[in-house]
Amino acid sequence: MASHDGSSPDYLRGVRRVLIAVVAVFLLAVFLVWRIDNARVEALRVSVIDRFVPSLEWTLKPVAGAANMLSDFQSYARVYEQNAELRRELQRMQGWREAALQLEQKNARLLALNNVRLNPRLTYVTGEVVADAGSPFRRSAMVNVGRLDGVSDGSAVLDGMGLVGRIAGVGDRSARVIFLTDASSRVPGIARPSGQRALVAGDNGPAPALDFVDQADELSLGDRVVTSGAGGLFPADIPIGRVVMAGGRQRVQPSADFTRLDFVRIVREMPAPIVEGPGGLIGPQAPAPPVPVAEATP
Amino acid sequence: MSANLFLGGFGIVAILAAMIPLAPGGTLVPPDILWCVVLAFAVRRPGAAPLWLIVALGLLADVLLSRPMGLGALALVLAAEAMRANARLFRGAPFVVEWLAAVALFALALAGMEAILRLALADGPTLGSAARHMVATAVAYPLVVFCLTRLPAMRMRAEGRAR
Repeated sequence: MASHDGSSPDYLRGVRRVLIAVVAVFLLAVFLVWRIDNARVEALRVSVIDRFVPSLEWTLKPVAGAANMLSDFQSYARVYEQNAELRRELQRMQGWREAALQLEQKNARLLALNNVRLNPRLTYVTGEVVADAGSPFRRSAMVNVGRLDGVSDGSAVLDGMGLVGRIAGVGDRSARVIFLTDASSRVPGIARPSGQRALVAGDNGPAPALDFVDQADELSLGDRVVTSGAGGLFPADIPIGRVVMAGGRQRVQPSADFTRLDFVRIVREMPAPIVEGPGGLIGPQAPAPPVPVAEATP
Repeated sequence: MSANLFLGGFGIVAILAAMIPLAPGGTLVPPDILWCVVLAFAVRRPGAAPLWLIVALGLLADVLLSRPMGLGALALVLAAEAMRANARLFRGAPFVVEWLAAVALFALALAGMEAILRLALADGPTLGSAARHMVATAVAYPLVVFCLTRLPAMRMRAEGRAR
């Protein structure tokens, strides 16, 4: 085989060229099928990944762990500065802690006053990020929980601080998280003090843009943006981020720490009962059509 | 056949290396190590880089790395064949020529993918992340070649030059 390279006769070269053309056409056809019948091909992709990724956990995680240890080791070099920095931070945090405790008490009082019943159907399952997307085409990652753990397509994914993204593609033991920042991510949000509704639209950049704002001039920098729950995709009031100005337009700086994404929480939502028509328990009976009533009375 | 195992093994390792969750969601873009491995093989040991294996590796990378299906494999195959066709030229020339050719082909591939994705009304990577991807790959190429040529199985290069 190796002796053919470069010195192959002309007819072999022609055959090879045809072969390459055939392969190229085949691969283009694969691309077109992916583009046209995206959902089914993506399902195929998920099933392949689901076969691969749970076994990868044992190989990829230790390497990432070792690399992180190395970078942590480098930071020992400036341990003294870090110590001073941490002390300062701790002092600031004590102030915050006081504020948080007061807010917690206030919140508890207000909840008691309102007799609020929070949605008990929301539960979380925590997973570990086992693999990166590995290419600049998608902002996504693989987590090691899947259908068997109750994860379903479209579930919201959170880290400790805020919304990370949504689940797109669930295997039995793995699932793919599409980040907020991905170009295919659209999350309905609401800005907090002003109550302006907007769409948080990712564009593969670090901070997703705010689209379809009601009145853009009512938003101010630093406003909190939370999920609005519109469309029923995500539960309401999950923090998304803060409004910043970048590239000449209003964007959201995500609260979730995308640089250190290790464990994520996935919202498991039991399907809410769908109310169709008046219930049988509350209120007077709906007036029945006359014919069945006439049949029922004799 | 055992020669095919080499490219297959290195290719799979290269795909998995890109999936290591060093900073998922960060702005860090990993290099396309599979690209470097396949092109280095196509120049140094064309016999050990059969077309079907390159197609298979490209498709596996497309599936695992959530790239547009088929497009990455197409770019990889065309680039590998371009390198293979000029393998003799690269063997005589200094390494920088091969390096520049590999990086230029990668840039061309990214531009071509972007064009095809635009035509198909899909969205590709942003300019910034594509540029970082290219720079990372350009830096990775000499490193990959260095590692590969240290291996006893790649000693064919000297023989190829003599021939």
